[in-house]
Amino acid sequence: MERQAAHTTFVIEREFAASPARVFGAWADPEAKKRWTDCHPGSWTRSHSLDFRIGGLEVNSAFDEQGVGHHCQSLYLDIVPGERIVYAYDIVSAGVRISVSLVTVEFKAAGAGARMVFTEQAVFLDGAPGLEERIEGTGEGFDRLALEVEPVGSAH
Amino acid sequence: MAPDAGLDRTFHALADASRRGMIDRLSRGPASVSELAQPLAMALPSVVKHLAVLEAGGLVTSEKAGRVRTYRLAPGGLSAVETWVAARKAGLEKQFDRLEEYLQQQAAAPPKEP
Repeated sequence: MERQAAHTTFVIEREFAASPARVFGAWADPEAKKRWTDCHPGSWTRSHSLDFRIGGLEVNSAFDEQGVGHHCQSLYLDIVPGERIVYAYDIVSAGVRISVSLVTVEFKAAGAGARMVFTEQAVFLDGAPGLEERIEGTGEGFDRLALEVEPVGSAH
Repeated sequence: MAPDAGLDRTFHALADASRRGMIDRLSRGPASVSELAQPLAMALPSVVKHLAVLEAGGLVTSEKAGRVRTYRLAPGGLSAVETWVAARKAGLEKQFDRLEEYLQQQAAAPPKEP
């Protein structure tokens, strides 16, 4: 197999009609986090655990109808309550590590609500085989998409 | 066509998991409609519709030889990594939509005190 490591950074900004503390809380609370991150079809079996503290792990596992496993594990590296979360995560699909990323989520007051800035610095490994399995169930949601992909290079 | 309209069509084309699966399959080489349909458990007419959306989005091209129409990734379409990032962003945007719904529900009905 040809080995590849393609690096890129992308940013997603969203505003919510809720305080930064409440938006942060939806990331910090395991029940809340499980609710809004569950994006797989109902026919999949899923498990989720979140140990939200610096050095803590979050493990997300899903198995599709064929029993193929898709796993996402995060390590929390920096937490400033109500303001910032930094974590590293990888995605392993059908036994293949697809990507490894460093994510910074910043929460700021914006008017009566909050602005959330999600920055992901990712390395996609070996041409990301298994793409269709990994993204199965992500569904629609492109209406707000603004592609802000920085120049993508396959070697740095 | 305005450039933005083209981009909208590209994003629309990528907004469906089945279509992204087809893109991924085509990134490994050209394929016929039935080859693309095979792993999807989807009727051929549905596959043809999805492929038409991808073609309108400038992501794939096709040519007919005899009775077989063969699809391939369009030159100048998104690169594999760009497609990948677009797919991941779509998934995240979807999650953040759910986060927004969650926050709205919470505001409407504050959680009970323990």
